[in-house]
Amino acid sequence: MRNLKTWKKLMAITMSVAMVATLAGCGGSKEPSKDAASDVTEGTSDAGGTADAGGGTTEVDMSNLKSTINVSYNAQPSTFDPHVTGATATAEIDRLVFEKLFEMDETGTPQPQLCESYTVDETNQNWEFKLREGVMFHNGEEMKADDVVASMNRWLAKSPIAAKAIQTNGEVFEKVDDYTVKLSLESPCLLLPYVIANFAQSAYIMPASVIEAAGDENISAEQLIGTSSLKFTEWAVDNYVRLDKFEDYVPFTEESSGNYGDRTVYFDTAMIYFVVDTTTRLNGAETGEYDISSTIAFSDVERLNNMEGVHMVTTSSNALTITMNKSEDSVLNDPKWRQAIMYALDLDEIMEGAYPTLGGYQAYTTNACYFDESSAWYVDVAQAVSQDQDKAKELLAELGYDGTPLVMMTTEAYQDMYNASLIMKQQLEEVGINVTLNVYDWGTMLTQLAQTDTYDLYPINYPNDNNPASVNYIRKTTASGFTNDAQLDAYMKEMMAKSTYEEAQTFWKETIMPYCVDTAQIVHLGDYDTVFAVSDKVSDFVPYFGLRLWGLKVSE
Amino acid sequence: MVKYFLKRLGYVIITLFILSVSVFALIHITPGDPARIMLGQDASQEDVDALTEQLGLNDPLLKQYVDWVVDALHGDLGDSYSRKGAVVSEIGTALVPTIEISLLAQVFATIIALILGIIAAKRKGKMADSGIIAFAQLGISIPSFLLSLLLVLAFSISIKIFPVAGYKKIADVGIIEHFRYLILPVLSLALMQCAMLTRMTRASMIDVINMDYIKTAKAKGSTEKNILYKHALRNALIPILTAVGQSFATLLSGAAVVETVFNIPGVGQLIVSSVTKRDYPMIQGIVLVVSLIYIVINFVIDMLYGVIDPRIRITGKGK
Repeated sequence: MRNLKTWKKLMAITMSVAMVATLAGCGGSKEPSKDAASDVTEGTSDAGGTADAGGGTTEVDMSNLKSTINVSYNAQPSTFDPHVTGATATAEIDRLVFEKLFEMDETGTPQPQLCESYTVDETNQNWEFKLREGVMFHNGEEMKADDVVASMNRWLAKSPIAAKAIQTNGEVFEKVDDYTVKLSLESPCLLLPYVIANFAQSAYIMPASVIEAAGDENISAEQLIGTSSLKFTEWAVDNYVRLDKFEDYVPFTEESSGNYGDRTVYFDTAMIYFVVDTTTRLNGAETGEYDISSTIAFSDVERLNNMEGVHMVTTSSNALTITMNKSEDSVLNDPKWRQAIMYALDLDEIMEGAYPTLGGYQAYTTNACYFDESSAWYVDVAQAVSQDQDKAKELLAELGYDGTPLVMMTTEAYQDMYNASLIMKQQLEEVGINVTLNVYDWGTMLTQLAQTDTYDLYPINYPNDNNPASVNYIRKTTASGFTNDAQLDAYMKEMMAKSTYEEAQTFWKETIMPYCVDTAQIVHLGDYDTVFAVSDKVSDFVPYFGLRLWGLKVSE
Repeated sequence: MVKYFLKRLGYVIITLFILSVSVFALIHITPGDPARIMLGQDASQEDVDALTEQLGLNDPLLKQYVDWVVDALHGDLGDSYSRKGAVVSEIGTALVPTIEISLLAQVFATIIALILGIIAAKRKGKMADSGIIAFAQLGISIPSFLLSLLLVLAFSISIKIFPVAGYKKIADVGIIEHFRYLILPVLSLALMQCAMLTRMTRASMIDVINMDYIKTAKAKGSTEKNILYKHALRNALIPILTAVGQSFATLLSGAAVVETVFNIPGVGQLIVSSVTKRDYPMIQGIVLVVSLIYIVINFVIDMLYGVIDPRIRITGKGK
């Protein structure tokens, strides 16, 4: 018995030591190696790299480069059909395979990619696009006008964003000759190239034969045939997507900027693994399982910065907003109500709560403008949106607020949205607005969006396309707030009739953006980063709205 | 025997019916619109309504259920809403890695548990027994995600002998590399099962060792090895076999946490993503397939009882 007691004590001590030793191994910092690029590198969508960063047809010695690169990605799309969904996961992978008539460069300006040139008349209604000749699809066919017409008209029909942004009324793209396509609109649309170059629900060009074969169904993974430097080879569901180098890809320019220009790749195969667990993605970066791991949690940045052989790359490509239900079913149909909410909120506090600064790294920028500072459409509206609790209370008194709670929706599926909603609730209650917070899973929350009598407002994040053509929440009657403002519609129409982008940008900055702020169409809280863990063997990785694999090199 | 088999078949059909109705009802009363989830927040209500109609979700619930049952009886579990492929095919693909890691984990766990359980029973009250009990307690107590992460920390990040995550096909990487990726997830699953089976084996063996016929065998001069393995273990196997069957069926239904940590594209991840996306055909299909697996395994276990204990075979009853 005495022996047993002693043994039990020994076992307890041994196990305690083992646990402590194991936990001790979790922490500790390591000195970065002298060759490691342990400094943060900004992506081009933020501060901008050089115009030919990551591209160029200069001869590259590939003998020391890895033939297969491994990337871990945080989500698997339900479909790879680019015309039917705005899912970021679809867009980020599709843009490696497809190209559009226009692509955004790093300044956020659309440039001709698959079209060589274009003309538009003074009404901004009649467009003609001259296609590049000799552009090959992955199936060996040459891209011609029939393919462009089929693709663009499918995009117009399938994408809810396209038709609303362009304000079409049944107009379609038409073939002029084998290398010329036209579009005649009933309403002016100066920003048509912006809409076409939009990142989500993208106007990608695919063979007419593929579209015909798909009929009304979504394009399946086997039918993904584009023109970019990588071709779609395999989708192992829940596991990976394999993309192989398209040997017949020929860049039309040496310039590579944003999504525009040269897309030459310096590897043979890209394996994109779907890894939903953020710790696993980071562990994989640390052990070399993955050359690039996307969407690292901000709470892991300190660990990432202490890793040997791995460095951090960031890009600002998303925004957090408060969308307000402006349908007839909500009191927020009244601009005064929305202004009261806007004045009640401290944007800095909300953003810090949603994206806590850890290890000295601030992952966000508080920004009330709909576009970030790098955008040509940016204007500083911070003063107009700063917290003013007295003003909020004054507006509530004018409204005769009777204490009926506002209903805010949120979801724990996205921690930033959830945290933001908790802080918002608190701030609204400080000025006397009662709030009922309903927490749903993501699927239920999406369904609730159409039930306009069940909520008043909700926080949500959007990809930051950085131009008015791509902004859902100021378009009429979309589920992103059910905006229905005749004056705003008139302003947007006037902007679309301007002669140059510069005139449109000035009009946006001086008239439309201030109007949006005055009427609190939404509250734009700020922009936040996407963090990548990148092996030190990777050079020239310049993310642009996420994964951008052309131009980068991975050493053996 | 035929009567026994038909009786079991009857129970199976009733069980499947109750299960299918329950799951069907549950997923349809859960909030969330599959069409809206598929099309996204900015799709127009007209498009959502059109897709809802196309998916047959406007049909009366009874019709939807009957249609599904009729198709299922023909081996057609429908098409996945979110993946567009046939549900049967998608589940089949997901089952491959799940069966692989479950089988390996179960074999490993059973062998180790039998050895440890027998040692613990034989040395009851001694240090070895205490150590094994402590191991079993730890294995049952530690959460699966924590165990998985600790294994990754120890063997992937610190010592770097196993990969951190992933599932690689044999055709792509060869058999050795294929199994190298499976070792840590198999260990994560096996350790927990091993802990439970060890306790079960120990308890069962202790019960049997105290029986009169064991004393008779000792009195007759049988060797210890003979007593343990020929007499005691065989009699102790019935409850152990039940536990093995249940644990294997549990593993096959998908260890979602382990699959997530190690990024295994198995049934666990599939059911989680299907529920998130309200993929009704996939959810129903997975539940049906997993239920059938449970039923088949229990049936096999029942048949094995007869092999191990002839009394069950003859009389249909145990001791």
